Amino acid sequence: MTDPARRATRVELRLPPHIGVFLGASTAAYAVTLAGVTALQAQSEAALVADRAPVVAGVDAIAARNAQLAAALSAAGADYQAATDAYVADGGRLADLEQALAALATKVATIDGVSRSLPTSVNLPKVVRRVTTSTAPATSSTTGASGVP
Amino acid sequence: MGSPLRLQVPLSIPSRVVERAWRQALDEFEASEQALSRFRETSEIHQARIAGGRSDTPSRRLVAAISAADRARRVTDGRFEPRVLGDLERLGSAPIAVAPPALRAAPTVGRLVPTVGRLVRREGRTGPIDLPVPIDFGGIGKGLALRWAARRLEDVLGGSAYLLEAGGDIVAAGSPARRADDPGWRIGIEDPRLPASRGVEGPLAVIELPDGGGAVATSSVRRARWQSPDGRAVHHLIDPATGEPGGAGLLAVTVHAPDPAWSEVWSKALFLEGARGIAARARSQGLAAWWVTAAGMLEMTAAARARTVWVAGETA
Repeated sequence: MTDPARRATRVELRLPPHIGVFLGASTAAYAVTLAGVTALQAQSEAALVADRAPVVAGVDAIAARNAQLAAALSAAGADYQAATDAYVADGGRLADLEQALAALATKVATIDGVSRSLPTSVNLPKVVRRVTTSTAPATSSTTGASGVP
Repeated sequence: MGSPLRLQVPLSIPSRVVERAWRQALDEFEASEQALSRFRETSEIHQARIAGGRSDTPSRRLVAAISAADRARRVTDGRFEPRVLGDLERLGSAPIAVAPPALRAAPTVGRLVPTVGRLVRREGRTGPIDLPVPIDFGGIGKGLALRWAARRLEDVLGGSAYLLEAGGDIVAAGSPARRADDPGWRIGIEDPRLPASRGVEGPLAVIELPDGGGAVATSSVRRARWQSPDGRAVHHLIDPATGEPGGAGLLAVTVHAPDPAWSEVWSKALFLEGARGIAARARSQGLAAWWVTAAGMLEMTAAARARTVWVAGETA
């Protein structure tokens, strides 16, 4: 039941019929416009979405490929680390090898020096006095002159 | 040729195998002498000379020897020349009487340009042969006999070690060593300054053959010396460029090579280079060579030094 106090303050809003209609029409027009705008917006957005779809798809593909590359890089990094670890382990052996080669080079140089100092000509003793400083080692045979003319 | 033979093999080889090997070596040397020796009247090469240089049915050995001698002549640029028989006979080396008078005298090489003319003419590959100039196989014949004997020994002995010696030339295979630190075949080099009457005494140097063995030959004036008809002291190593004994300043040359024929050829060819040219020629050929000069020096190439284990010396 309406409170009479509130009834007294209630203002009857009476609009001219054309106003109401216009308002209603305006409202309807506005609603239609709004709907149109909404539709346009939706259509535009749809078009925009459609336009952007390949790009989005492309971006997705790139993202997927990027993920693959990241995985490959990660695997390569692991392999590199393993190779590095192995190289470090071999480094000790390589150092030993280098030391042995250096020692060999010194020996070769020494032998070469001794070899160059060996004579290619030897003075033989005179036949009259056949005195030797050491005894000849045992031989299986002797090569020399043969036969008669 | 006509040299004493000696065969050495490890004691582990059964005696029947050794006997068979020895028989093979003897047979080969007999067959080679019968084909090539100018010291045998019935030899094929002497009979060809009596027939004016023609042999209607030459043996395989004779053909092979002529081919090897021809090749040796080309490889040594003519230092080795088998057509020196005329010069040897002119200087008095005639073990077999050359007469009958119908036999043509062998031309001397001094008037023969060695690079001109083939050693032999032949009709086809199996026909008779014609030797325009009589041939002497000295300086290659013994080496060829050793080569062919070595092949027979290898067939009988398999891979066993052996050493076969024929009058101062040697072919050996493998090593006689029983342990890793035992030496290989050790060969003494005769002192050419000793008179021939003193036989084989202490060596001048001792060389050791590598594990594969090889061949050792010596060209020396120690034994084959005589007086020519005109009273000169001459020897058997004829220089084909002059027709006279060559090797000025040298007494002996020893060569170690893989093959006995080539070691003999090069020992003679190097001897004929003389004391002035032998070092350069031996080194250019990469040979293991030792030589004794008339001045009393033993010299050798670097390859020879690597094989030398002992050299005679004198107390101060």
